[in-house]
Amino acid sequence: MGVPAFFRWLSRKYPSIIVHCVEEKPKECNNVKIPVDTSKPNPNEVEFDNLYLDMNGIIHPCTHPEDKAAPKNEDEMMVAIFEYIDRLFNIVRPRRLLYMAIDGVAPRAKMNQQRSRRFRASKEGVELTEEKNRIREEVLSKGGYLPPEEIKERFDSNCITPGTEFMDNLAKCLRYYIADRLNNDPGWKNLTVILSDASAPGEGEHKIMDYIRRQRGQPHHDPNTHHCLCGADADLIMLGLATHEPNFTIIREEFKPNKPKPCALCGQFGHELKECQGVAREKKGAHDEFADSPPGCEQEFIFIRLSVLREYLEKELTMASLPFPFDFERSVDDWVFMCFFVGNDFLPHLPSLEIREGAIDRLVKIYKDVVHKTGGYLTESGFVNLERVQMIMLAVGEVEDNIFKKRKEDDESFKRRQKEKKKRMKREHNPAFTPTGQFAPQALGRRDMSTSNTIVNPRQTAYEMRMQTSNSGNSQTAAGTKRKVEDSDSEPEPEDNIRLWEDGWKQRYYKNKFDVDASDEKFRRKVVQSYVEGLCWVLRYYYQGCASWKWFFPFHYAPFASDFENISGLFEEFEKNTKPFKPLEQLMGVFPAASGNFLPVTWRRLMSDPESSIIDFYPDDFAIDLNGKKFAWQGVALLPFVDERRLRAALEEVYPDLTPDEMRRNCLGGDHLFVGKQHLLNDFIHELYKTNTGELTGIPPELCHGIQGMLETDDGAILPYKTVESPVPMLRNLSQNFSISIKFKDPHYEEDYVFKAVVLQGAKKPPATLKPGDWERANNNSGRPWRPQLGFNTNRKPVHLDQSAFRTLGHVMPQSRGPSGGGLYSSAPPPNTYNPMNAYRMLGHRQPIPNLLPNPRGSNSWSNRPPLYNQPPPQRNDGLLQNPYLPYPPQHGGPSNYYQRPREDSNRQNYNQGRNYQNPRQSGRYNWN
Amino acid sequence: MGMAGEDDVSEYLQQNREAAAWVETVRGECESDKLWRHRREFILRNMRDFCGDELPPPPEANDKGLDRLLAYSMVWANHVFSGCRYPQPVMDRVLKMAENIKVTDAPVRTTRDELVSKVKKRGIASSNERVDYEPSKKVKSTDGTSRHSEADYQQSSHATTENTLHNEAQRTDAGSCEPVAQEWKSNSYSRPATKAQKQGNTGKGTRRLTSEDVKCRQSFFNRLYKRVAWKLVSSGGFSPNLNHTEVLSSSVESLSSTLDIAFVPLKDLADLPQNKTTQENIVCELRCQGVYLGMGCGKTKENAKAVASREAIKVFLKKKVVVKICKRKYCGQDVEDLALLDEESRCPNLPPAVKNPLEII
Repeated sequence: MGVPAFFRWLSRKYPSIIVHCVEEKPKECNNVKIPVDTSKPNPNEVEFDNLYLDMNGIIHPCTHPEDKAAPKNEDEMMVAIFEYIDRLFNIVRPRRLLYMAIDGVAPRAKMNQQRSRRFRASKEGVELTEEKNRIREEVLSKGGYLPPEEIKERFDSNCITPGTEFMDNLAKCLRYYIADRLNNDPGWKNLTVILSDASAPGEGEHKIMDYIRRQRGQPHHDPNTHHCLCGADADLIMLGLATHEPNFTIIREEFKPNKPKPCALCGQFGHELKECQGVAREKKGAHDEFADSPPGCEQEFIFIRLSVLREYLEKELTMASLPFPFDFERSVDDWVFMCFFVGNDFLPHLPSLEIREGAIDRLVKIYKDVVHKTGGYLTESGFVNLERVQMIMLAVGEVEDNIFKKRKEDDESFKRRQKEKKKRMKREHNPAFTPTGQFAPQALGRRDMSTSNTIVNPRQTAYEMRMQTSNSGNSQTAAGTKRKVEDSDSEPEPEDNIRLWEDGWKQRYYKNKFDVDASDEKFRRKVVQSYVEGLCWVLRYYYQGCASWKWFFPFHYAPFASDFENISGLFEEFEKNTKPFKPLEQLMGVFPAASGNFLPVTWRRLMSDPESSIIDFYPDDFAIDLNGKKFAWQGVALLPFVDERRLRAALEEVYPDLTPDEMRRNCLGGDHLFVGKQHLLNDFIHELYKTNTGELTGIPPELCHGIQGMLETDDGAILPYKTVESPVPMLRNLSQNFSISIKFKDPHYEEDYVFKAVVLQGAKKPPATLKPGDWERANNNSGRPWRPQLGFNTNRKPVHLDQSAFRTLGHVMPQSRGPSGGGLYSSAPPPNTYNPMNAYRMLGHRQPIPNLLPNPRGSNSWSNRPPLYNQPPPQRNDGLLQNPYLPYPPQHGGPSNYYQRPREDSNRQNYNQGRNYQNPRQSGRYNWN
Repeated sequence: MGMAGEDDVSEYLQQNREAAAWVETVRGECESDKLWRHRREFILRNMRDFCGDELPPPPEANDKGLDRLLAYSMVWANHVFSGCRYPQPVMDRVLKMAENIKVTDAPVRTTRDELVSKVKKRGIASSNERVDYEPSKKVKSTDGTSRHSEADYQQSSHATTENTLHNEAQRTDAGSCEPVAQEWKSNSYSRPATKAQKQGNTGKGTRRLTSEDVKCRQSFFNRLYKRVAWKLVSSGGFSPNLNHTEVLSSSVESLSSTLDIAFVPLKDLADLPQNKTTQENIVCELRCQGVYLGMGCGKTKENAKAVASREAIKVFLKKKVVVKICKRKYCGQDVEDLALLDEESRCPNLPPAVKNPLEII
């Protein structure tokens, strides 16, 4: 969904829906990577059945990553995609099904957004290359060093569109990948894999939804299947809610704002392309071991637990004393529907509803007020009750005026605050009390390790600092430096000629955005009608699948909420039996002329030839209406809409020019199912190939965890004992293949079948995660404080360390924790109260912990080793390194050597050791239950 | 069909009921009345060239000629009403087809290229900023609604060819920046960037600047540096209230050279944004011996010139002036130019040139 703010809003309002992923990293031993065994229990303390991958969310970051250098060629991209899937697989560890869906041709309703993205992407790509070349020349002329320019062509991200050679190739590579993993990875052993590549029509996430819907309608579906869907789009949350499955989790990359990006020219971090100086690369870390990634920023993943979101929504939406029985599932559907008003991929959002301004809360409030009067819910299984929607819309319309005024006020006060802040920042870079010179604060870990910078001559420095401050204080007051005129460098704001906060806003809006007079009732009605159709289409799309491949919203802007008068008659039904575009046709519809190289020659000529009968679809440059936003990419691109009739007519003439390969790419395909050697279905499918019936055969549900569908033998299938050739040169062929593939079709339903949006019979509600509203009352006697649940497991055991672990810690910690020398203030002993018993974690447990560790001396009696504690350190010149009795002698290059400071004087070392060792109670913090 | 305007169209449609019924079949479903009125005129005027004398077939027939006509009508409408730009041959053709259609109230749009070039600002000093600032990198630009007529444009470019202070003095300030009535014939109408691009393509120079070009000018500027320095000293040092133009031009003249002054409406400067907040719409560029000295913009030419001179004088405030070969934009392309810089500024971000530097040098 085109609402980046939606997820942020959601995760702030409902924080418990987020669970950080626990990821087991592959270990390395003697430079050999040992892969993680994914057949072991999931470290996240939850077992998932199905993992669905919305592949476009993976392809984009792997082919043109923002936070690291781009892969050099297509092969590297493919390998990056494989690795990414491996990583996800390792985290989620699905036990039954892996479903990979690549975007196929999208419904027409999506085409406008795709067009605008691709037209922009193409321009941005060209601009970036120009800028790069310009700066490259400049840097080189100044004698800077730059890594030699790669020979590769610029990767046009527009090729990630169904129908291109790239996508075709990707499908091939993924088939190879699946076969490889089915053969070689123990975690995949019993897995069913379905690949829906770009030739299957429909957006990836909607193909997934279609699959889930159709499985749910089957009698053998397990109602307690735990689904996990991967993808970053906010609308996955809506889609997940729309399934009404009790166990549904979304996994996505954690969004970290302001992540450092490498310079596009030299690949180094720390500066942007514009500031590139071409300086030789610095070593990262002592042995350049951090060369590839900026410190500590591997992308991490988070789970979004929809079952918890459902708990939250239940708390929020439950209404008492309704004139009709309250049904939580129905109110969830209404909530999803209202989120569409705020924005989605198919409709522009209403001008008065802005997610940052709490639009969804406002809608929920209005909804709860109005629902008493409406006499029922807004939606049912994806069908909209327009009369009731109208009541909501008009209620929003009533406050529209105030919303605009408030927005203006907020905007102005924000600007004022910004200005003041800027002023403050200019005046003082840091507060006056921040010491400078050798007392200057230093960021953690920044300190240069090689130069030992102990404080020298502190008295003198302190004196100087005192003098300095008093002096500067004097001079400032005496001279009375003149204040500079402010405001000179503030951006000239584009004039807002709509002025929604002033009377007459509606007229101005229609005049400016649609170029019609407000008196043009007919036109306005047309806009409203289209929008109403749009709302119905979108909801149907989410709950029942694509109602019409042809429908689209034919304007660039939305009407006002107050315009939704008498809308109940505005929508009847969508045109039936519409067909999606063919892949190459869709390419013609969404590509700018500059990306024509992905199309056959005669086809691409239609995009630039002045004689072409569709030349109007392909402007060189187009207007952008910032629409109150600041940057070009945020604005509305006023691109012309595609006339489907003329497009098809023009293409008819060039269809004969297609080569057989292009004809193949232009076909709409279907899904493929893969299983490995051990899978029960393997023999069944093998049998199908042997008999070669060529007709559709149903999957026996007992063989495949209740998954149903039709199978059809495939000519280019992967078959056991047949070598699978590697499409990527750097990967080997699979000569010993036992996996098998076959065409797969979702279960078929009648044309006008309605998928019910209900919780299935037999579905168990997952245990509650949130604190019950009546916790205090119900647990008054026990006095047990509420312990929030952090992961999937309700009864997660806190980590417990045993004695040997404490001993190990005891050896490692003193060097890392204590000021073991080299620090600034190391010569001053810390006060005795310095390390109170970790008060912040021990709130409930004030009493000193009983001697959890027996007397260290006593504990040593089991061995005849000399006691480790209180042992006079031998040969202090090299600290602990020489101690032969250490359980884990730290080695150079080991993780602890950052904390080791050789050459320290023994007194200090002794002091620290003594402090920590002789007081084993301090270690009690690791043992708090 | 010698139609002279909309009245003719409605008259024609009244007389030809069939044509009126036919033309409604090609109306876009969501087209506003206004848009349709203009596009209909476009279609009717050019119908004969594409579909012959007969009434064209209905759109469902997928007639190639008709589809091309429809495509052109959309190109034209997208250009005029939605701000799209198409490849030059297409534009030429369509604008010619729309020669006699009058559009009086087309909306004003900012294209993406214009928006983006606004972000990549190039410094032009502006008259409403204070002098005690370092040269700002800010761009002020013109009111997009005040379109300058063709004649206006020529007038100012004429002025640039004369290039002398004396000529400029006689110019009136107000005339050239007055907003012209928002009415234009579509044949004289073309978005500014297009115009500039065209010029850029024809006037692309081939000669590369060499160190010889620099050397032969450096000595002149060393002398000029002394003159300006003395002039400044004698008038009490650099201050914002000084008549910078006077200081600069008299110094230049005392070395029997001339100060070249070029003006251009801001909107004609390619690579510059069209911004609606400011009235400063005249840009002035100062050169001497072909070397770029400074640039400024202001409400009037006098104003712009003063700002430009001030910027130029600032260069002379440092220890030394140096002539350098610099890259800068001209009509959207990178060109080389000679610029006078102080010794410290290493990599100046020059505003786009008003005239092609290679032609001047």
